[in-house]
Amino acid sequence: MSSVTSNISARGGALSRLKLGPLWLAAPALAFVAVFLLLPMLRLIGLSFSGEETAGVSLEHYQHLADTPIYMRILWITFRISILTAFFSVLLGYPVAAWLARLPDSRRNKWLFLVLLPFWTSYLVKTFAWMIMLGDRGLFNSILTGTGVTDGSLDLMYNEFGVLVGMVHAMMPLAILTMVPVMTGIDQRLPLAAGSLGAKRAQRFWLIEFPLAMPGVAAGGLLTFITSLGFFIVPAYLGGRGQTMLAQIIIMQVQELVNWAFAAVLSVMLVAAALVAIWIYDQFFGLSSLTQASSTGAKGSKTGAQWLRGAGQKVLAGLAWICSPFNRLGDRGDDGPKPVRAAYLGVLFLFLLAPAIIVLPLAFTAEQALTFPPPSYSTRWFSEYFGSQIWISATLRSFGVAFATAILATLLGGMAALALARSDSKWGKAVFGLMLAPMIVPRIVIAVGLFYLMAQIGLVASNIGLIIGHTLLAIPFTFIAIGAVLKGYDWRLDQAAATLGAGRIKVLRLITLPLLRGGIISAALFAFVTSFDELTIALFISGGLKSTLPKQMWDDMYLQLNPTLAAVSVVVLVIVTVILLLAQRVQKS
Amino acid sequence: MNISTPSAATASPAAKIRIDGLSKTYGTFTALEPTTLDVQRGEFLTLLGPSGSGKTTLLQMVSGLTPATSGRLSIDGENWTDRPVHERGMGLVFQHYALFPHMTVEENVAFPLKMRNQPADQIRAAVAETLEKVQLDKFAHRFPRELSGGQQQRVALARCFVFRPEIILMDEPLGALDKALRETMQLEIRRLHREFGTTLIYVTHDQEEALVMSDRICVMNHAKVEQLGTPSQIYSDPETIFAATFIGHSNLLQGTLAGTDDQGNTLIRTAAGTFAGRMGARDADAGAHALIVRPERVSLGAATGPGMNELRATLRDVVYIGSDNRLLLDLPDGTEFTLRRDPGADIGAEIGQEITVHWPIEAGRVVS
Repeated sequence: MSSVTSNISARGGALSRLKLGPLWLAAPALAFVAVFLLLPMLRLIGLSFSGEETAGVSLEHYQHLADTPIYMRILWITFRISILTAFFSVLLGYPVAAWLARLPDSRRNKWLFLVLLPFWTSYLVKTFAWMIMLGDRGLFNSILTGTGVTDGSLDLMYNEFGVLVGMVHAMMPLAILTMVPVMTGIDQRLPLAAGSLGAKRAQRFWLIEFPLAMPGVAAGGLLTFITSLGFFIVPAYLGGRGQTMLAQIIIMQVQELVNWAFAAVLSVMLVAAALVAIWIYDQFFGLSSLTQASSTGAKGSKTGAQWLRGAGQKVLAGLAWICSPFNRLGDRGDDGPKPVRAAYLGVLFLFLLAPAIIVLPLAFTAEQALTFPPPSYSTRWFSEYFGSQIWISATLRSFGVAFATAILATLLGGMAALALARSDSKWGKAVFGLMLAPMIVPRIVIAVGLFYLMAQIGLVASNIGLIIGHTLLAIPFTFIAIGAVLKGYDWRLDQAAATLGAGRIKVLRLITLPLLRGGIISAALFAFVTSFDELTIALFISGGLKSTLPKQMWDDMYLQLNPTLAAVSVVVLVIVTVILLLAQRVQKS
Repeated sequence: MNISTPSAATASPAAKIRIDGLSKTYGTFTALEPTTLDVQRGEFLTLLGPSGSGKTTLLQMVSGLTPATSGRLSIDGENWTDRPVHERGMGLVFQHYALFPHMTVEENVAFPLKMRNQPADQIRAAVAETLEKVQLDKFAHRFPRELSGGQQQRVALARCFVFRPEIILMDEPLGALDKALRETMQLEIRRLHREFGTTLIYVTHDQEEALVMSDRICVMNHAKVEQLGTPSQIYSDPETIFAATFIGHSNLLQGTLAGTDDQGNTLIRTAAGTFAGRMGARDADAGAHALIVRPERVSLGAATGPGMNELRATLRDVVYIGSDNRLLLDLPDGTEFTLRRDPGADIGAEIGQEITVHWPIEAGRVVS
């Protein structure tokens, strides 16, 4: 008996010396991220500095990059498109987010669903739909020529315009979803207070509302920028040669040229760009505001750039002055003339939902060609899909992998979230950063690194390899989702249960888990969708007979656009919608 | 020497704020019934009532934050009913202060002056002066979240007083503070009001606060005005049962009217007997009435002469509350009746004994 107690106290002593405490719960997730993210990243970095002949450190691959104008051009294009995408996503999404933030909770959640749906819809489905709409004989061009607005068809895709349409459409939901929590956190009475102190419409917006929403705006810009950096689906299908982005080149280097060292160099460039963007954000707002819906504005403590704050205020005051002619618009109440706002919101939601709206009828066409609207309807393409061994096995594989991913990611992410919620260790911040790392490192880089690792341990083209990769991507989502419900959890309930005689396990089983069930289930559902839609990792790690559904779509789209793809898209859309509705229902209860 | 009086001062003082039949309804819900009320220049008027009494609605309509359903608001004789908030130039102090979190104390206080395009050096001087008045000059460069509740409240006051508004509206500004701090701030607001000579409308549900601070109190209940008067009028001459019970402690003897005595006093028949009292200004109609007597007007012992009411009751308890003893009596029908006694004074009775008390007729008021 006494040996047991002494044993426990000895262990407790060791723990407290390390000052980790409950943080140990995060160990499995940390190990997972370390092995499957950090290690491959380090190896990529090592690879990028390897020499052809010599064994030592060499800069020759970087030299090659700098010496080849085409690569420098691609770097520039990648930046340009990413910045434009982030800019337009935030700019066009801002009014929507501001409107959503002011709705009452229940109505906001309903409308947010229309943003969440395109957010979780597979990039492939979205891109497929845009190709049908923007193509030479696509929907827009047939409307334009049909109504006689233009003589010939316009070039709406295979150029920068097409890429930007597709990318902004893909990224705007992310921008909106990032801005809304910050905007809801803004005290609604502050603009009123400003009004009572004499501020007119333009001054209320530029001096009060906008600066308070700024952390959200910047976070939205940051996340869309970083995500855009690693994009390849949209530029591959909607862009021309002039819009080739870095991720496409990385794929080519790995899959076609098998030039690992150079692919590593390009990956390092991508990560560096992402890190620089994050560093800049941190300087102004602090990283913690990325996950906390705080609206305290620019960081007061980080006033090494006090003059910058002053300059910023001058700029805003200037903007308020420039906009003063429009003051009369909002004098009698909220947001300018209502019809204008309603029209804008209508157009924007139509834009966000356009792919879903287009794909649905196309899936039921009776024709071989993808003309819109279809001249006649049938279910032959669904029969084609359900009759195809390839499609069905890909679908089943995706389901299986997504299911396993959901369980694994929820377990790992949930334990890490629990650890962080219960710990006040100074290591908490580092753990937090590591848990979010899979969201911050561009996916293409994660995929290349994993491919390199998996190739060596023989997990390429295996379900286990896929599950590992998808779990890595899903961990940040489950971590954030469960962390959010833990934040509102009353830990005194656990203490109460303990005083009533419940042991640790019983407390967890009877009190903690039932109360957190909604958050845990929705986290698992999000993890499921993350995996179900995932292409980047599948592109490298699945293949041949072991394709997932997105991989199969990608390959098919590469060959030819056909109505089976529309049918598959509808199947994907239905599955994602059902899961999202489930998640929303669960979160509510 | 002959001192001539300026003609403006001899003219009868026109109301600064004239509220003329203002009302607010949301669908079928009435937030405020048509209300008419004048506020004099430089006056401190408190809207006092429980939540849902319409006091905040009335304040918001004066501020312009809520449009009125009907009625008219005049300031200095001008119709301001539809004037936008930012053109009213009224100072508003909100319950949770509504300080701009992204601005320092100094920037918050400077904000209304900047909106009025005042020159920078004037702004600096005015801000420094005002911050000094509220003893926050050392905190000028802090952000609101770095201040305590009381300090934040003082920033809100400074931001309001700095632009010298002629009218200031405060909506439960001390609601979030603890008792000791609230009492300090009450005196602070009174001082600032006197110093700047502004017209001030103040909303609270705290009757003590209303009595301490106001020139006049407007007691509100169920979306309408119950009584309007000076604190002493409201306290000593409540016009309704609600006003009597909401402000201070009252003994309430319910009964029906029973005519008048030969002195012209109203008689009211209650379970404890028939008493004489003064009729409230409003009540002539029959129905349920009550006699209101403040505990401090009641004395122990039998009536010492004419013009007194007398009552017998059982002494239930004696409660020591510091400044005095409170005697709790039970009337035969179970109604509680209290009176105050100097703590040193002998009561001359044991708990459970029946005792006699009396009070002057003019201390009782018959209301409905």
